[in-house]
Amino acid sequence: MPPDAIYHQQFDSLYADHNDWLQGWLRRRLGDRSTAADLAHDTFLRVWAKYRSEAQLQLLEPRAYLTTVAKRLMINHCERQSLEKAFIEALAQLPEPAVPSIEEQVIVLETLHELDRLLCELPPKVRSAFLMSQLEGLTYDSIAIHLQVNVRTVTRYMAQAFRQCLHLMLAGD
Amino acid sequence: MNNYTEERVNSRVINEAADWLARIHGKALSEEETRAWKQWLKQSPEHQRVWSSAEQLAHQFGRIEPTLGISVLDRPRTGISRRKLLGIITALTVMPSATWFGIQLFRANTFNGYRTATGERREVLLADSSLVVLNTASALDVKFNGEYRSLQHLSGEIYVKTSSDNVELAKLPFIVETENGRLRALGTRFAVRNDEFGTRISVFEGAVEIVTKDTLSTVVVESGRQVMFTSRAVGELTPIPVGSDAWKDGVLYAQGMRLADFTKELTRYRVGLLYCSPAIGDIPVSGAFQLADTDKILQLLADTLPVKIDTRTRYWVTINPL
Repeated sequence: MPPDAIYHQQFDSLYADHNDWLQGWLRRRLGDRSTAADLAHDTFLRVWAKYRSEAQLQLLEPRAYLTTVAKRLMINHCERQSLEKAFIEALAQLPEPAVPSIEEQVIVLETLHELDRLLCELPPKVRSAFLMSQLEGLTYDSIAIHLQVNVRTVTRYMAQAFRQCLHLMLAGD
Repeated sequence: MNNYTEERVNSRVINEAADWLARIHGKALSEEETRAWKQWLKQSPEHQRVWSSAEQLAHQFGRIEPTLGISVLDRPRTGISRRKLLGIITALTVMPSATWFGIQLFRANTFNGYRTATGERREVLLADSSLVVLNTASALDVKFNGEYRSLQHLSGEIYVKTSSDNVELAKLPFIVETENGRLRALGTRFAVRNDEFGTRISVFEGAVEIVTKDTLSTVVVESGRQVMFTSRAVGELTPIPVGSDAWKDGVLYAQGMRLADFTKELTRYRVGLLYCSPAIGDIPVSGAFQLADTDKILQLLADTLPVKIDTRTRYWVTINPL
């Protein structure tokens, strides 16, 4: 049998054996049937991509493996939702002339997701310092006062944030 | 958009870039530091690639309205630590194909868009070491190809200081395209502003040639002069008023400016509505005002002129007679 066919067969049986179980697992955590089905589907897509890129993949504990992948997707999903909720709330606060058009909103939201991905691992103070500088254009002196740290610490925070962003941008996820 | 690369970029280069960025954003570099930074950038294509990611990041921040960005990106977190979880499953990451990387990098190196939100100001160092400062609510695309260095000025106001540090790139003409015509830099320092009336070019050093879009009239503007033009006509050359480029240092400079004009100028830097009652429009305003805090400017007006500031909301402010 050609290798591709073997992968397909292995993957088919993985799907058949565990799909229902995985959907149930996700549904219990999310309380939402259709999101659970979507995320289970995404989980298998990831696993399939992994199957193809590695020449072999021995799954000793398939369910542990599937839940690891699913957990990560679930966190992504929740973060996406929390970001979108914050976005909608912030939009409602803007005065009429400052509200971006629908097309712009889509672009802004995508950019926010990308920036969020770069920033989410940073300690809160580092992230706040970075955003005050990059979004609000505050000087390091003002940031230092806001965060009650000294200017050297602000400079260190900034370097840390730039380092993290560049690493993620250049190395991919 | 992710900027993936085929091979891993050296961590040392990233760390050095991060240190430079942290310094540059802190305060203006001295001439000596600027030279050191340029030396650093010239070390290898890898250095330049890392720097172009930094520019891309700046570009992404430029798209976000500050208040909105802060409320979304600095929202309280749920406290889930992804690090441990990610550590376990990093091996799962799927990388896109090499072909796709190539295209992304090519585009990132030849085309860059920059945008500022209202009240924001941004400095951009171009690949040839020329400096561009974008004033509030401005947009700009940068295109460098083998034939010319070109800026597409889309809206707002920019200040340009061209550089001839890079001998190869300096041979190429430096062009600014605006909706009303094409500008060719014959010298070094100038500012371009687009508004509803047309395009205004002010030349601080050297000279700039204008070619209007529809009538192809050609005019050379010499140092110390400014002129308004549209796609069909070029106005009268006049001396540049004192302080008209003060905005690039974050200052709004006024010398006997009518309050009505001053207010109009100020609205460029503020989100929301700002009105001046016509009854007090002719009061003259003088001074150098810090644009970083427009609320403070309004307070200063109330303190020094016979006016009061009526604030209905943070975004709706009227200047009325006392």
